[in-house]
Amino acid sequence: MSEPIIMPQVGQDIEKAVILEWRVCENDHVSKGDILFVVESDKAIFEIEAETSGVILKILFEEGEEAKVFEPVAYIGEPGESIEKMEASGDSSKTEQSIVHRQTVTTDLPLELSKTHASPSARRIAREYDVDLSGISGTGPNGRICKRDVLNMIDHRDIPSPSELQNTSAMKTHSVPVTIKEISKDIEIQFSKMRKATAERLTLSKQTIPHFYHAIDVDMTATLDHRKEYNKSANSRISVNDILVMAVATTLNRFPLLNAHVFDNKISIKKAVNIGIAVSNDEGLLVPVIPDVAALGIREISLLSHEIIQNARQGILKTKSPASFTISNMSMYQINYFIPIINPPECAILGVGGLQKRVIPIGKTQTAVRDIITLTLACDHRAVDGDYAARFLKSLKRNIEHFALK
Amino acid sequence: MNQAVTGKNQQKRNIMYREALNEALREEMRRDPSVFVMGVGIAERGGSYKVTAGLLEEFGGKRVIDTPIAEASFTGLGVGAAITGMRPVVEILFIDFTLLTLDQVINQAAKYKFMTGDTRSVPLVLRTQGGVGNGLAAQHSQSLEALFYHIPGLKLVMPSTPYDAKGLLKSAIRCDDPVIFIEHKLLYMNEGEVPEDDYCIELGKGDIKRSGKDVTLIAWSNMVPRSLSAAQKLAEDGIDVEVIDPRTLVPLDKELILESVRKTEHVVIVQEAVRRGGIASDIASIIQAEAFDYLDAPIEIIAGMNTPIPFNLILESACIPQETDIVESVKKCM
Repeated sequence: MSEPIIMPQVGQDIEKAVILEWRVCENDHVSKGDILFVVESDKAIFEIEAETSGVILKILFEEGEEAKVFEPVAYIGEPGESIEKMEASGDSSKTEQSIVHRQTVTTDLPLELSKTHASPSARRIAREYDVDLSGISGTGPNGRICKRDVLNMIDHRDIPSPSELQNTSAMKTHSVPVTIKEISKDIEIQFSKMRKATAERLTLSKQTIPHFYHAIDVDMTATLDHRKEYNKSANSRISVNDILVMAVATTLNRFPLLNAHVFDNKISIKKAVNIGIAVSNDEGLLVPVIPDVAALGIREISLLSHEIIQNARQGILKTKSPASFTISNMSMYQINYFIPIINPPECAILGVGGLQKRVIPIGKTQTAVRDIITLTLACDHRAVDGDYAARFLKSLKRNIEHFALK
Repeated sequence: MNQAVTGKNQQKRNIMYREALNEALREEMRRDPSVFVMGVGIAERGGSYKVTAGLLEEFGGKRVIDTPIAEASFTGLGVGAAITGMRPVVEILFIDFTLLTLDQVINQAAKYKFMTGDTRSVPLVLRTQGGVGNGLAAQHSQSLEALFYHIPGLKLVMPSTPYDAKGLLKSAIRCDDPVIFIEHKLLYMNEGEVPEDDYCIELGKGDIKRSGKDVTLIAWSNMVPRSLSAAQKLAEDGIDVEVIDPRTLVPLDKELILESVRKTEHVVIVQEAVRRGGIASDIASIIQAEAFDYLDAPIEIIAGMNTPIPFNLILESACIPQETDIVESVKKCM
């Protein structure tokens, strides 16, 4: 009889998770214990094993797609078996209910999935560290998950304790929880794959690229007013970031040396303006790309950038085009300005500071309160000089301040 | 890890378990004229295990009394004497023979305080000896402590070392409630350090016989030395065993046990008596109720087999936990 392969709850209070990778195809024969697919929650990556042996009859989700927990993601059974019956019973209202009432759903699951064998002590530590036991394989008698398995998981994965989760959002500190004496020592956490990649890239950039920096204040008052009116009349949600992306692309058309890659004593000027947006998630930095921005209208930019940023926050990069220029936007935080690090092999990066109300002199005798952002441009001095970068920034400032939404 | 010693003369010396008991009786009889001892062959013979040797000479026949082989009668006599304010120490040669005294012990001694609204007490000590050893067969080898453990109103003491034997017997004699004091036939000749001073060990205080961090071994009476040698073996395999000796099973030093369990998160209880209805099961139930979240493995109980003890020495040793059984059980739960 065919059985559903269920998306496990990889983390407390998680309703959905992304299938990163399928390790099997339809019609593959798998044995119990084989890795079927790789799931990523917003905190970690889990390999999901087959609970039974059989043939993969159908895969319901593509790689990169999200699936709800406790919902079938594939079916396993005998070769040539039909799965229609199973699919029919999996209507969505039932699944919705299942998530809310986990008690009831567990009775419907295959036995192996409904019960994780873990010692009370392991469960206690898992509770305190918000570790999901279903992602752990036990080394105790009869495969039971015991305390050392959970501690091992905490040691080797980037899992913060609940107190850390409360204390931090974007940045992680790894404070030592005092309630657990076995771990009341410094905690060493191996860099995750993504953190490692981020580290290598930024070290390369800081060590090999001679950065120089220019900063300029941009008066956003008029632009913000335009945006507000436009969004109202066009029923759209154009963001400040969208405006910046478009203005940067427009300006880059006139300053091609900054829309370029620098390597091997060469500067490679890119034909398309592919704007990268720096997005941080718990694991590290990602730079999703809006390709060929110069060819897009503001609404297209808005839709695209919303989608790629959301994806990146979940650790997914879909576009394959390499960025030619990156924007790192901190305008949502109360940062005045910050100095960004170039994302190699790009030639420059723009750091966008927070929106601030400032008192500005008007003419010789008057003042006004205006909305100001500070832009900081970091450039590769091997490829461009200060004069060029200054002219770019001045032009960008004008393009933003006189941004017209049609 | 002995308790603090009271008194001045802290000379170190090693004596046998039976000598420590003798010293406790002697000191208490000197201290308190209401203390007297009686039992079968305890006066002129000095007791089958020599615990009462020399007492007749020092205290005379009115305080060191040989009785007929009539356990129910002379235990009743002891209960009556205790009610009148004496502090009798009644010796029953084998715990197997205490079965004859159960009406006196359970229906009278254990109930009297309650039924008189706490106005009267029964300061009786019933000393006896149990456990397996030397091929004494089914009627002289039983471990019956669970019978007494089960009865409200009785205290239950089972010392494993000469030091504990002396300090606990003195506390038992001074205790106003009936105390069942169970010695072990294989421990009498064991030597250990015992101060010459007057010291008591509070009833209800267990002892850490060996401290360790990986697993808590709970054992009493003759299972303590056996657990300690198993712990030694396990240390060679890198397993750091803590051996807890409750010393008194009623009252039980729950806190000491729970504290150790919270530290090691692994528990093995070793009991010479048969497993069914035993004290080990009760201790396990306390642990699971009060330290559930600290258990990293099921509690292992290693206990005597469900059989009368055979006469044959090889079969005898097969019936109760041996060092290798303890080693195996500990490894199983790690």
